[in-house]
Amino acid sequence: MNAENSSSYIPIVVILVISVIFGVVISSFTPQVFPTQASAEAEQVDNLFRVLLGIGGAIFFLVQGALVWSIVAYRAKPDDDSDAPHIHGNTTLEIVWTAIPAVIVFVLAVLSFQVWTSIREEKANEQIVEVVGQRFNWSFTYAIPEAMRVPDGPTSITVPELHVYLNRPVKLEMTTPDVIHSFWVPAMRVKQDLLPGRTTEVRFTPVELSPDGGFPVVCAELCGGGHGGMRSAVIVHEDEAAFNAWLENALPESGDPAGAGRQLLESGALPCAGCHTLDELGWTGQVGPPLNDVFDTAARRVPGLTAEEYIMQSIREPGAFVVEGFPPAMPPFTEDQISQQDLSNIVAFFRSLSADADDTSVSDEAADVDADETADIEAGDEAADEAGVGDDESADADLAAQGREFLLSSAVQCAACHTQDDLGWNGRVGPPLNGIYDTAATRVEGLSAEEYIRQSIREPSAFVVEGFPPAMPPHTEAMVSEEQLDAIIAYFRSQSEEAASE
Amino acid sequence: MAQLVETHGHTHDHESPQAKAENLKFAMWLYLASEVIIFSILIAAFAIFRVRQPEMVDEAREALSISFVSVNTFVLLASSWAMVMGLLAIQKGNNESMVRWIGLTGVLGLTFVLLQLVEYQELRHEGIALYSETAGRFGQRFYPLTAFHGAHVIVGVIWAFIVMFKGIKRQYSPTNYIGIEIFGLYWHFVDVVWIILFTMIYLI
Amino acid sequence: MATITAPLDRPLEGKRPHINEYLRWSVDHKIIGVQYMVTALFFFIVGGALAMMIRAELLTPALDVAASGQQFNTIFSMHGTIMIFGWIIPMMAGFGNYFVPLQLGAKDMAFPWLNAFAFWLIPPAGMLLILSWFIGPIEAGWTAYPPLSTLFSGDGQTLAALSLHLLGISSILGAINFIVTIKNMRPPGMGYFQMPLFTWTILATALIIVLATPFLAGALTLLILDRIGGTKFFDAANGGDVLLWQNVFWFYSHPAVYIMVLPGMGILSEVLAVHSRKSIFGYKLVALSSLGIALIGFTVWAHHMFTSLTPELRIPFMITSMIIAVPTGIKVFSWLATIWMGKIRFTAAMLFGLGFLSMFVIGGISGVMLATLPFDIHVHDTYFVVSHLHFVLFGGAVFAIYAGIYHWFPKVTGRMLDERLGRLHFFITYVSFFLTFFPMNFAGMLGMPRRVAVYDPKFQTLNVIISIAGFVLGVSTFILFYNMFDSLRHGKKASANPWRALTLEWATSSPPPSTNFIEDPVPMSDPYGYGTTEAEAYLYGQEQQFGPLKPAHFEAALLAAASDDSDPLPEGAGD
Repeated sequence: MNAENSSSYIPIVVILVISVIFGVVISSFTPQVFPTQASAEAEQVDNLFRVLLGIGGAIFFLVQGALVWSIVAYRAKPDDDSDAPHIHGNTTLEIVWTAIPAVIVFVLAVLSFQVWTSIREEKANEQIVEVVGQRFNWSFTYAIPEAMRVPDGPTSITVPELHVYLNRPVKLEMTTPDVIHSFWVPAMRVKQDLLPGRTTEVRFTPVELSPDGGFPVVCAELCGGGHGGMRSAVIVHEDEAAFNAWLENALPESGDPAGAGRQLLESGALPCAGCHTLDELGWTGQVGPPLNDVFDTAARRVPGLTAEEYIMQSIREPGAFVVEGFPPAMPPFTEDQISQQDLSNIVAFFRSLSADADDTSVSDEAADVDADETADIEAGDEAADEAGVGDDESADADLAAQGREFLLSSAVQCAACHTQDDLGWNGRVGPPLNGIYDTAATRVEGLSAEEYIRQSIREPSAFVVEGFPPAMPPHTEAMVSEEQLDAIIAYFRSQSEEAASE
Repeated sequence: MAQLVETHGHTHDHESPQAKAENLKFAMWLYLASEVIIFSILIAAFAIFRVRQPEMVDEAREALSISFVSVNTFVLLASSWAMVMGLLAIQKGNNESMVRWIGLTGVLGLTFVLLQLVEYQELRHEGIALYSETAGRFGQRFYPLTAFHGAHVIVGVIWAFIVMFKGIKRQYSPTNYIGIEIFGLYWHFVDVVWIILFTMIYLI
Repeated sequence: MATITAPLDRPLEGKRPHINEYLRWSVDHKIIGVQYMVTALFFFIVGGALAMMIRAELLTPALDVAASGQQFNTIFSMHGTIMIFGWIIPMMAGFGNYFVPLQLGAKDMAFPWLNAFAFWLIPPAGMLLILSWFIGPIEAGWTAYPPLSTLFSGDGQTLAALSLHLLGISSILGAINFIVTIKNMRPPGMGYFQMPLFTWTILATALIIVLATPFLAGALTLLILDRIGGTKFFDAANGGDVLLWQNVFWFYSHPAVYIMVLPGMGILSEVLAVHSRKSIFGYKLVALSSLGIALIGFTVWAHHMFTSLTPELRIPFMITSMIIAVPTGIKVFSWLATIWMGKIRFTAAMLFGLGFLSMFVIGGISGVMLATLPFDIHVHDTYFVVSHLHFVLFGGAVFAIYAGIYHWFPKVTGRMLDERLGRLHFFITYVSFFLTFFPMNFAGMLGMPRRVAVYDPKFQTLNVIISIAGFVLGVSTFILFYNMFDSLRHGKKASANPWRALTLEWATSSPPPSTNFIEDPVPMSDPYGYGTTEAEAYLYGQEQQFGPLKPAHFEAALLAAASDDSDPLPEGAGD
């Protein structure tokens, strides 16, 4: 250990001092490299980062400074072939530069631990939202407060965005039916993977109102071709009142159980009209008993059985109460064909027709909600606005574009089961939909492509493709309106034309 | 001041038989270390399964025939013993004896493999497939683990016969038997792994 | 006491093997080393082309280059897999193969046949990997998380897994060879603490390989079984667990990053010492820190899972991940102290060595940031991570590979690389590299996730900068390739020891004869003893044996070359 003169210490000291200053200055740029601090957690994370950036900046400058200085001061002279002084090491120095980083990382670990514990701890009165992420959309399910519920009506509502309000801690309970996804809100600084087979949790407290469009929600774990497009938004309302106002509004207007039931029966998805008469809907079937005033009749027919129970049982197991004089021809309708919710809606509809029923008026109150019905209705309204009024002569291309947009929205989950290259779908459960228009045209004799596609969506069990499971649910008008269905068909037709014109 | 000094003339002889033998043995230990790790992963998978779902293992055990497999275990242990005898023989200079013992090692190893295949057949009849709804989860831990071990036994059997033929051609001697020694290390390793497997799958 | 043999009648001339020897089976470690390196360089080009496609796609927020989101996923999946398993790991193995026996004064590796066998597993593995694209492209990233990789990735995923199996076996066999060679074939006088640092890092790397790669094999086997055997290891609905893959995979893959970087650090030690003509500062601690990194590297794996691991388990991994910064810091400061007060020659090798120091530190700093759990939660799986990994793997490992090429090309080929082209290569690479990858930090922190073909338009400006710089970086690679090809034919003939270095690979002709050394060389007691009289004596002795060593300082040589362009060799000379 020799040949070290004190003058070589000066540059080191200078570099060290500048490094510290540099670190402090650099760390002040923290806000520039982050989105806005929209959560209470964000501030803590950013402050921690400020420390990291300061230390990192200082070390950066130290190293680069030493490098630059060496390049300048220790450049070999052109004619100098000799070696540099032989310096083996310096134990003190080596201990110092082992110990100091060790101390630094220890401090960082302690600070991080504190921030982490604070972020993770359970808060009081958390708003709990259930999140489902699946290829490639997000859906958020909220419990409907008691006050807003309809008796026998749904207890929750599902929409494609996350709605919260200022200063109310939020806890998300997240699941996924397919692959790993990751829920990330950059503005909130929180991220948590969704893992098949588990429910994962994440917490945050919003402290800032959201801009137009909300704070972006992004999927942060590769989940397939649509990973980049799997986005949503966090809408932060001002307070609980604003949140509740949104919630009430979100509950479908026309979607009260009676309305939903009516839509279901009108949709033709069920074959009731073939056998029953019902003036309200224009049914003229003659095989079974007429259903005018069925609610009142049902209330009286079997002692001890309410009208609701009677109607439900008559649909589930018609053999129980065959009306005298009519053949026992009605088939039972299982839950696969008519879900419990749909059944309630049908009952509600019949109730609404009855003069004795309490509320026949369409109300704003909580309605039956299938997982995506609300969103579908909303999306359907939008699509209807776009496709219908004022745009009557929209070119087929426009309609196709709307169909495409609808298919890519969070309103439907076709991607979960079907493959379609243009849309980036990768499902393996059902048959692939590439070139579906052409296939549909020739699959069933006498059925045009439009009719085939329409029916396959309304009653998929009609034309199950061999080799595939009969797993596709019927898509009622509540889920896919007639306009939306037209748009979908137009889209598939456009895909075929594209192929044809290539 | 530079000075020329003559070379020391060291022959640090890395070519000597002893050096080569040492290298081979050390290499075999390193290789076995990596094998230990991968077997540990599969063994751990089985162990976790055993602890978490003991009923499934118990149920599967009804299909497994412990006595049959015990015989097989004995066969493998005997082959290890034959291996040791072979090594001792060559160390004493008895080539013919070594050849016979190593040959016996290979035959016993082959017997083990065949009997294991019979056991697999039995299990198939009992419905324990690689994955099936009923005993499926047992299968997916049982087969990879035992099949992986079985593959190692097969490699060992082939190796045994190679050693045997080399012995017939008189390539070994009391001063040159490293080839047999490293084969022995491998074979004993395979045997020890089996003991662990047998204990875990069939006994505890 | 270091010595060289008595003077011979004439200096030893290196004779380069005929190209055919490189195309067939050979048990000579030097041939095998070159085979590894050329194969690796081929995969570098392929992986780089894929990177260019990625950057072309990301010029705009919409999908316009790739045919679909899925195809884009395939592009970056192949890019990552090829760069890690086809470029960096084999390239480091190539350097190790060529130079470890030489640095130990040995004739060859302990098991020459095994050495060749390990190499020849690579071309078929590479073909399987490329074939996978056509059979059914992989789309789950190089990390291949199930269920995406089991349910949705194409059939090529199984092929890719088999390919990695082969590469893993090749790796393990090579590592065993290295460990035995280093343990048993050191010359008298070379204890462990007289070994060159490059050999030290190869030893540490080989130990990691033997212990970690079986985990990859295990994970791949489970994946293959799930894909074709009907098992449900990763199927949550049937008792499986997706985290099983993540844990086993990362238990290998984190140590794997040290497999990639440690040899690079070894190269750096060699280059910095030689080209500043100064002893490595704190040699012993630097050597031991390699083992320290290797050891601690086994304890950090779940920091790749900070958003999926059970929350309670995350803190311990944060702690271990921070601890590993310490031995890394030791190295960085030791290197700085090495060049401090040295006599620095700005050869291309040295420039890349300095570039490594400059860039790797940035990667190291972002690494400590990533270890900080609350911050990592925000930037996990974003472009911040893409930036970090490229700073350490490109700014670190690849820069070290470049430095190694410039440093050792004379030894392998008997020709000097063109220093001016080397400097050009360095400056363009350094600047374009920084501009490609540093802005990614901002993109990530501001909200851009990784592995996406479509993104929020607010990130477009950053992405355009990144892409354009990336194209420049891609093109700049060809400066080196041109330099290598041209210098093979027209480069200045290299002496045995043009850098006047003290490690044993330089104590023989360039290239070495097939048996490496004419007589057993005796090593310096301090392989970095620059500035000692022993070193002077040693080099003087070499000149007696091999003739004039080129001047150590290259600027003089450059000036000489600039005025002396009439010194190209006649065709065929030196071949």
